[in-house]
Amino acid sequence: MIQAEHLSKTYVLRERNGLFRRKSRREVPAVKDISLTLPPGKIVGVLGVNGAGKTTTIRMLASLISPTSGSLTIDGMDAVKHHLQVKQQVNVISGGERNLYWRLTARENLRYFGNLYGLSGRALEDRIHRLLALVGLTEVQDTPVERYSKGMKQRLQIARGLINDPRYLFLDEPTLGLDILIAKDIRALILRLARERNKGIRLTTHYIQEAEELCDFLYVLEKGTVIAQGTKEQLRSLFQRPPKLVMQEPDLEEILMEILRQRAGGTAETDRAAGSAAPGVSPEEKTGGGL
Amino acid sequence: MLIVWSTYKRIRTGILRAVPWSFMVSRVATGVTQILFPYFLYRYFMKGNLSPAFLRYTGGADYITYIVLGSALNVLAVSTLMNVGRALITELREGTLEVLLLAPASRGPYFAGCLWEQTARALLEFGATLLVGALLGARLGPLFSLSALAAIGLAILSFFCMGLLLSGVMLRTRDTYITQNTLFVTMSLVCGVVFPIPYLPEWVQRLAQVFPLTPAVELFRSAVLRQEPLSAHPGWILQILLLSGLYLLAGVLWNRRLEKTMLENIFG
Ligand SMILES: Nc1ncnc2c1ncn2[C@@H]1O[C@H](COP(=O)(O)OP(=O)(O)OP(=O)(O)O)[C@@H](O)[C@H]1O
Ligand SMILES: [Mg+2]
Repeated sequence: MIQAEHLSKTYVLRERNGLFRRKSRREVPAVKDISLTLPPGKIVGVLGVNGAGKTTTIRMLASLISPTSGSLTIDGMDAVKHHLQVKQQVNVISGGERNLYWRLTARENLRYFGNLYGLSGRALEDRIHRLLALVGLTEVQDTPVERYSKGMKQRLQIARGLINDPRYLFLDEPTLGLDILIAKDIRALILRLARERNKGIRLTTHYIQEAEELCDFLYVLEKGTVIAQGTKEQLRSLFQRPPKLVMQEPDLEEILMEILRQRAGGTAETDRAAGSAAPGVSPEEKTGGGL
Repeated sequence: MLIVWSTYKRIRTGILRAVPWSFMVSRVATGVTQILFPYFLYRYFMKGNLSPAFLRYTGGADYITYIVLGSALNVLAVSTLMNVGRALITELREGTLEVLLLAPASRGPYFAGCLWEQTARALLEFGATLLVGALLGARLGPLFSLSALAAIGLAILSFFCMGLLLSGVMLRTRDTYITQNTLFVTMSLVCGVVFPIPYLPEWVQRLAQVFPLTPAVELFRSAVLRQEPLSAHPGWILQILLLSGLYLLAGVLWNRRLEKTMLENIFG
């Protein structure tokens, strides 16, 4: 179990005001006194508007940056002190196309990252083989990543995040920029990782539907503090009271959700094959949903 | 060792898939122009007449061989420094630094992999510069002596150590262009690459001693021009080793500190 208590992170920015004037120091309190737990086998969601501190929290949990104050333990071990052991047991998957070597093929990427975790030989090759099959990239495993589509890169990122068979996974908007069908596959995969492989997963997302579908427990972050937490049921009762917990641009979001829901509700597989829109969805809306 | 090898292979694969030739050609071209410019000055301006001072400073060296050896070692210095120095900031720019730091692997073998990968290329450029020099009439016969090769090895070691520190500077300032070009121009001017440093003002001569290229180029020349064994110059060897040690220590300490704060400067 990962246990964070009273975690805070204040970034210090040094900015130059004009070319020759002295740099000024500005402090950005990105995360303020957050406590959260992540048990194995559970999916814990973190919601919040842009800049709420979600990525900063993940970076602290993954030992990428050290907290300004607070304590962090992973299975009872002090994570700040033993950050190398922590790194063996966690991994981060973030949305977007960074975090891969574009000139290398999928297999070469995974091999390199495996080596960074001290894996090699038969065991590593077997794992790569399985991971590529898992994310459906076996056919293009020997094509350089730069020729991949966004979704393929994203799926390779997921394989990369699983290369060290981490016990805890931090997903930072893993379905960002993916079409709804791939996003759906990925959600199914996330669910399986938690339920079947007993991984503790912390999920950050802007798609509330995604959080609703996957998460066992939710935290809502705003301006670096937890403003609400609970299971879906507990939160749903909160959401009925209107203000405060609005995520972002609710109107657009609702429309988006509606489109998403319709798409996800339709027969996805045949849709993909035929390339046709789901009933009742106009082509424009369809593009919007793929966002 | 695993990481040395896999980093080597990763960079090598990347480079082979990109544009390997233009990169190499541009650096060989730099080396060649570095030879050609003083060569023409010497041939057509000074009509082959060297001042007695030069002969005194160099122990009667022949000028063409003198500049060819200097320039070749300078090419080696530039490519080693550049590749080792830019390794991490390239990861930053290509968006792979975060995942690199996410893994528990340490940076030492990573840099060793970079060095290994780049030495193969740098030696090729080094060789090409020497070859062009030989065509212009440099006498490079004793190049393959044990002491000449050892001098090259020592030089590479010291450039690598300096590269580690340069890596820190580049990451800190987020700049590759100004840093590397200021450094490289300075080095090629003050380290005795194409003329002996006693021509320079005293304080510049003293400044030149902080660059391992200065003693390295002297050592290399003494081995090739005068076929002296390395043991004839313990002072230079000591200086190279001492500077390497200092740069290594500073580089390692600084990089260790930087890594903790580096990611705080990458915005989510
Ligand atoms: N490296 C940094 N240096 C200084 N300030 C930072 C840095 N990274 C983030 N911040 C600031 O910290 C706050 C929280 O940022 P963070 O990236 O954690 O938000 P987020 O919840 O992940 O947002 P998003 O939904 O946009 O991804 C923001 O105000 C941001 O400007
Ligand atoms: Mg974020």
